[in-house]
Amino acid sequence: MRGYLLRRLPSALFVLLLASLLVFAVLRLVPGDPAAVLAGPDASAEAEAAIRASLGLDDPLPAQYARWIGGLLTGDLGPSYAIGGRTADLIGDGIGATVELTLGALLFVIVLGAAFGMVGATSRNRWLRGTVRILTTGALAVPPFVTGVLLVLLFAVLLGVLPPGGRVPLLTAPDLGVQYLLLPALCLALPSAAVLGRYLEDSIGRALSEDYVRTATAAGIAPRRLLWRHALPNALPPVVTLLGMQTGHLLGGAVLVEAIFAWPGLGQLAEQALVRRDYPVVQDLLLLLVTVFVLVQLVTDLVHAWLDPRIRWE
Amino acid sequence: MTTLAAAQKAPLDSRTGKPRRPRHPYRAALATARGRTGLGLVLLVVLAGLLAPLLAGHGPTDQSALALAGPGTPGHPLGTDDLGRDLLARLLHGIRADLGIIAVAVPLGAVLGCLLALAAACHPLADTVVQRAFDLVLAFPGLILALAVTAILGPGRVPVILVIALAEIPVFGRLLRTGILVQRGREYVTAARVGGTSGGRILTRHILPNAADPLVVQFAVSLTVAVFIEGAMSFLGVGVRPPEPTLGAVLSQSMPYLAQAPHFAAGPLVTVTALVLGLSLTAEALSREIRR
Amino acid sequence: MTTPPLLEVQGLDVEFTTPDGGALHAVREVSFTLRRGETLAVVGESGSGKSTTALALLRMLPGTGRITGGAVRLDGQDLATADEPALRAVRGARVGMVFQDPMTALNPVLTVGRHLDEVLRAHGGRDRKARRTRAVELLALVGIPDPERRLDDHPHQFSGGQRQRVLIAMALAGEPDILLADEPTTALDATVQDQILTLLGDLTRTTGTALVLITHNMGVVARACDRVLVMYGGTVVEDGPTAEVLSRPRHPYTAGLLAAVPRLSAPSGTRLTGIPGTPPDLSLPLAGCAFAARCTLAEARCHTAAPTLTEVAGTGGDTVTGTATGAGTGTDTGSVRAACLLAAERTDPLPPPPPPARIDRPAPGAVVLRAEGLRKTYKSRRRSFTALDHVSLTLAAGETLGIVGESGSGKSTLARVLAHAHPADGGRILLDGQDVTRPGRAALHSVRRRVQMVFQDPYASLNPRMTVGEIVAEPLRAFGTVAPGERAERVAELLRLVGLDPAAADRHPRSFSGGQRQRVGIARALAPEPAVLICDEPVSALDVSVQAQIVGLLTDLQRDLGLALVFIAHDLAVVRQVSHRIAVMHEGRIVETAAADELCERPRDPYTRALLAAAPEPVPVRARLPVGAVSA
Repeated sequence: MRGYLLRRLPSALFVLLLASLLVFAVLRLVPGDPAAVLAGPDASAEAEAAIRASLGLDDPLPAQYARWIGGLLTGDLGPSYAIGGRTADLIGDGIGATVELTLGALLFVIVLGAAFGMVGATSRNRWLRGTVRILTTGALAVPPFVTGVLLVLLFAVLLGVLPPGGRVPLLTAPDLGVQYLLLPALCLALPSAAVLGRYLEDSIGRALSEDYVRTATAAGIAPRRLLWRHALPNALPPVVTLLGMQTGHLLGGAVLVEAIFAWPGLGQLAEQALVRRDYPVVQDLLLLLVTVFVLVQLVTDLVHAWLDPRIRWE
Repeated sequence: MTTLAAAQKAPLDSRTGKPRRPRHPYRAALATARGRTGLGLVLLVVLAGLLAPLLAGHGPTDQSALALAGPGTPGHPLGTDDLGRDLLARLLHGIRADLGIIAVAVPLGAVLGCLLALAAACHPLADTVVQRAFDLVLAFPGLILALAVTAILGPGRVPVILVIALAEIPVFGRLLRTGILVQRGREYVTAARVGGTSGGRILTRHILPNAADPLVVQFAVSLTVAVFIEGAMSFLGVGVRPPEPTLGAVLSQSMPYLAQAPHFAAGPLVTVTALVLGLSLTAEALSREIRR
Repeated sequence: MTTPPLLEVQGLDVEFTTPDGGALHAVREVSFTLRRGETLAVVGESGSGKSTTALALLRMLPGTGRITGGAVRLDGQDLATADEPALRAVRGARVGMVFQDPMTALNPVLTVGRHLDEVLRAHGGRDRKARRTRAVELLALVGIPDPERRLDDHPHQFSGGQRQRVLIAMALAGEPDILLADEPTTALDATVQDQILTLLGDLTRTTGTALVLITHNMGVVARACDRVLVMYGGTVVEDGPTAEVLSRPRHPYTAGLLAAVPRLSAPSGTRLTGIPGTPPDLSLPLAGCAFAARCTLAEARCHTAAPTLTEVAGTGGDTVTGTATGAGTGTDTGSVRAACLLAAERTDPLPPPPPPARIDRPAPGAVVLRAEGLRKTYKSRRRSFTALDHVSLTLAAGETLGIVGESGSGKSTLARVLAHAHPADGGRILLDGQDVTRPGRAALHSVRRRVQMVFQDPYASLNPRMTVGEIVAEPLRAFGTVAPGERAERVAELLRLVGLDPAAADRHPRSFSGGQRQRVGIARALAPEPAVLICDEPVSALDVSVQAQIVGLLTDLQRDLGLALVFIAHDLAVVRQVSHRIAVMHEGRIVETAAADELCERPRDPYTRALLAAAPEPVPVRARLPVGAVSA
């Protein structure tokens, strides 16, 4: 297991290094003088110079990069120019909301995905299977921004049972917080839940048609036990890997869902920073999201290896 | 002397009793109920987009005094938007704009991805470089990639195309690379090599035709992803610049009026759903037939 | 005094639904009985319905398969109509089953201990500790060393033979009355097969379990079972004591099958007799005898009237010499039943097959291919594997060099290195005296014109997207031997040469049977008019009757074209018949090379002797002649 981690870790770190270089290049690739863009059209030459100095734009590129990474590692992200305040504080404010949204969605993905998958693979009830089939097709075919709009229309506008947007932190007021979280998390989760459900169904179906299931059937083992103890342990590892990929999609999708539901998270911050061209904030956010995604994938790879003895012992 | 073993007769269709001509799997896939529905939906939307200037009756950006008119208003069958623009015209031209984007972006991404995969197949060093590049792009999930690209280029049509193409490159690249590796290990490729067939011909005549099936399915899937990305980027305000309509743009403009004028959102909602549903059904039909 | 049979199958019918909605009648009117402690072999070629019958007994038919008629009575209980819980109580407890491929039949994520524990648990073992003790006992019973420790290992940590032992342990865990083994040794090497068959024999004898062994291998039948059921086209064509059926077959198909099986005792240069034609299409209704279309003795009525399985005159229990020990000796056990209109009227057995014909072939000429000290090592992440370890050989024009070895012996690697499909790491290859070990591009091209290869798997070695004509024309195009305008004509000529209708050129490989595809592979290899043909297990994926046709084709081509052949196989008997000389490979080395008859009759290397001893012969055990004696 440790050997597997040691083999897998370098490539993850390498991707992170490349990603950081790429993100670092973003600011330097912007047409025109970044300091001028940040300072705004009406700023004086002095203000521009001050920004340039504080960003260290006159330093050699390796020094700038080292400074940026150093700042990230120590938590000193510098000031935000367009939005105001310190970048670290802005990110600190939004991260809780985004984590809450993503975890809520992840929970939906796992629960709904598992339900869809198990029903699709094992239910004998044709109506139930058909319903799930239509649900997953729908969830895959309707883009999240459309689902979001429909959910708001139905639950907030027509039924009026849930708020159309905004957030109350879950930790401060759990009952109210859940009401605010429900729609955005569901909207974010639906496509991934459908993907996961389809994949799980396929994976279980494949495992159930394997020779070893035939062996176990011939040995008189009951269907329920065949499913849970024989087929599922084989079907799960690839599903875990897929779940890792889907977590990345949730992070990306959060940007959109936060915009639909006015959810004050990192996505909203990113949108704001983009529109106002606050490049340092954009940079820090991009690298943060990519890092989280790469780490999630690393963890899922390890879980996969832990679940599958063939990889574990390799 | 050996006996002259007659070639087996063509398999007979058990119902008609006539020799069955094996149909190309793609055609068989599109002849299924699923495939027909999917293709029908897609064609409908594409036709609407192509004929937009003929069907619309108004310019997509022409404003009138009639703001937020309901459907069925004379001259405005779908009503008007907040600025008094004809919703039918905006919808049809929106489809046209969307199709223009995905019809360029997805093939671009697919071609670039396949070229990179071919390069990777040629040399182990190229393979390593290409693989790492794919890893890097894949480390930016969907919309985060969109943020990164628009951070550099600003909003507009070109960034949308670029984001879609960039996101599709590693998808197609990895798929083809795996396909080439699998097919290359097959015995018929060794047989062709021993038979003196040149490397180039082995690639084009033997490996690629057998590795192409998953790419075709992926192409249909990628078109749906492209519709998603375009819409999401418009929604976030980093897509095609207003006032030019796209499906995502019209939809995002309708958001504030959802309660008072739901018809505003209806057109693009239905269209996007129909298009994506059609594409996914087609993809599913293809993948089922290929897997058989 | 007749005890009621343990298992009684009556008029079993199984159908599958084809993708276009038609019905495929895979098993037709199969009837047989099995007594307590009896060992019964069910033998047949692919498509004969033998495996389907086995699966139908426990109602484990895959996909659209269903029993459409008949009864399967186990001690009077009809399994064909039993409900699921009743079936579960039978599966594993009263009937244990062992499957063909030990590599896929065990669950990769469960330990071997869990496998056994699951079965014991399903059949009432409540106490976890007792189950573990029993699991250790079972592993010890099937001969896994150090069972206590191996219990916690996963399947991928066991060898193929050991996995098959584990599967047998699982099948025996419920102490069943019947062990149903579906091709249990087909995926294994001959020496391992021999061990597994010995184990099955010992276990059934000591535990009194009845054994039903499904196999395509007549040698396995002779080795392992008292009674044999021969299946063809979904029907039982013959049923009787093994010794009687193998020595005096009553059904023409059984006789044909036996004549097609290569015998280790047949000397080099004799011809195998195949059965012409192909098995019947089971999706069509069958009138008359399933074998009539291929039968040399068939009369007009054979095509219209379906024969029933009837006792053949003159085979009463008392006349049989070979009734085996330990089998239930009821009055009808010794009789032979055959489904043949003609056999029912005949009192004498079928005339014995004509003695194997000698192939009239010229003596080998000058050496064309010589290999000296070939080395090849495959490296993976952790370990490296030496596939070829200083292999040297010579091959003369018009000569066949047989190469025999088990899986992993390096024989396929040798074929690929000789055909320049893979480069050698060391050593030299000389073609017509010239060093061609590492040829340049142009030299490689001319080497390939002279050295061609026929592959093992006729399904994998033909590009599914090309027509047969395109496949055969590929080398013509590559070597430019024939002007583009004359290619079609040359392709037709080549197809005729290998016994195919030239009209086959327009069709895709998928519309041909295995034997026909192998003919296409041979036509492709012959296209550049090579001097050397490397045949890598060319017949091991084919049925025996087809195998004989392909082997015959290769020897005819050699005689007519003066080809030098390298014939690689794991079956010593085939190799002896086609080869002038034989080289035995073991762990990457050639351990012995000698003239074919010499090597089989006076083996010098202990490994050769082990291979010879393990080769299953389709001769009743009692009647077996000492190895090497030529049977008439």
